[in-house]
Amino acid sequence: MMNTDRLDAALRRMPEPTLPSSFEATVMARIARLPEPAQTPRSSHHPARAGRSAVAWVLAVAGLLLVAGLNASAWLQPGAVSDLAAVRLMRGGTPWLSAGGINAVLMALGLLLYSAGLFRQASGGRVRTRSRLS
Amino acid sequence: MNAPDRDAPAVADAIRAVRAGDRDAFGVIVAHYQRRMFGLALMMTRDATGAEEVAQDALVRVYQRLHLYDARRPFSPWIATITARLAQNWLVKRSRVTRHEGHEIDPDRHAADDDADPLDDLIADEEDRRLWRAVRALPSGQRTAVMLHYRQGLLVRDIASTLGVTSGTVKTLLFRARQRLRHALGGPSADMQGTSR
Repeated sequence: MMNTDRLDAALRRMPEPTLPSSFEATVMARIARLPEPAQTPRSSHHPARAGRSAVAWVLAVAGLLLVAGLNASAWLQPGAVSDLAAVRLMRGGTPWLSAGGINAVLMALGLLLYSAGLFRQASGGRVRTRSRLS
Repeated sequence: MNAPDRDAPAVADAIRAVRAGDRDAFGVIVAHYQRRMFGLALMMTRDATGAEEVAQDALVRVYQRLHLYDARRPFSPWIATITARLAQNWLVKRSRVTRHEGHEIDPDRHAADDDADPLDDLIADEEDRRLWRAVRALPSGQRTAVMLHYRQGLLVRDIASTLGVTSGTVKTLLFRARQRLRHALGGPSADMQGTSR
């Protein structure tokens, strides 16, 4: 029986079959009819996509900071955490987040910015395609 | 493992030229790889006409996707992968057509039963033909794995990716293929001295 080395060598040495003489001309004729292909390698870092991502981050972070900043002073007061626990556990006491008047408007604006950032990022994900062959 | 025939410097130049817009430079790539791609397609489809169609489509696809090719990696496994996938598509398409028309369902059996052997016209040397026939007689998965590994220089993991199976499966396919080929070619009357050129 043939050993593995000889078999491997024979398989690698096996000549390719001959082709019809018109093969190359046919391929080149087909290529000549094609539209111009992309001439530069596709970059994995697409500028438009990067810009979109940056805007999404800015919106989301701005929204978070706005909402958090509205009550930052209240949270920094001594006893704020125990007040929060009291509100949660005993369903009473002083409301931890005050949202009246201008505060409510700013809080809504912050949440809107945050949501806009999230949705912008999510819609950007749809354009991500990548060939399995690349 | 490297490709049996390393990509020639002329091919690298041609790739750069085609990417820069020189369409005619693609002729260098066609001339260099056409037989290898046809050989792979022939082994996978076991149909000379189908193989020619697949090889042509693969070269056109290579041209269209050349901008996606990563020049840091070897070129021949990339085009072999394209050819193998198109050959797989061709087999699926033909299987659907024959099933729809109520004729032959198994493409392997169809090719094996053909009276006219395309290898008689395509390969001149009798010993070479015997080797090709032995490979062609392998089951489809083993045959494809052998062609991609030994003839196209693909790594086991790349073959696994191309065929959509695990690396372990590819190793098993290659092991079984070698066993079958050794039996088919290793008899006293079928010694491979003639191919040790």
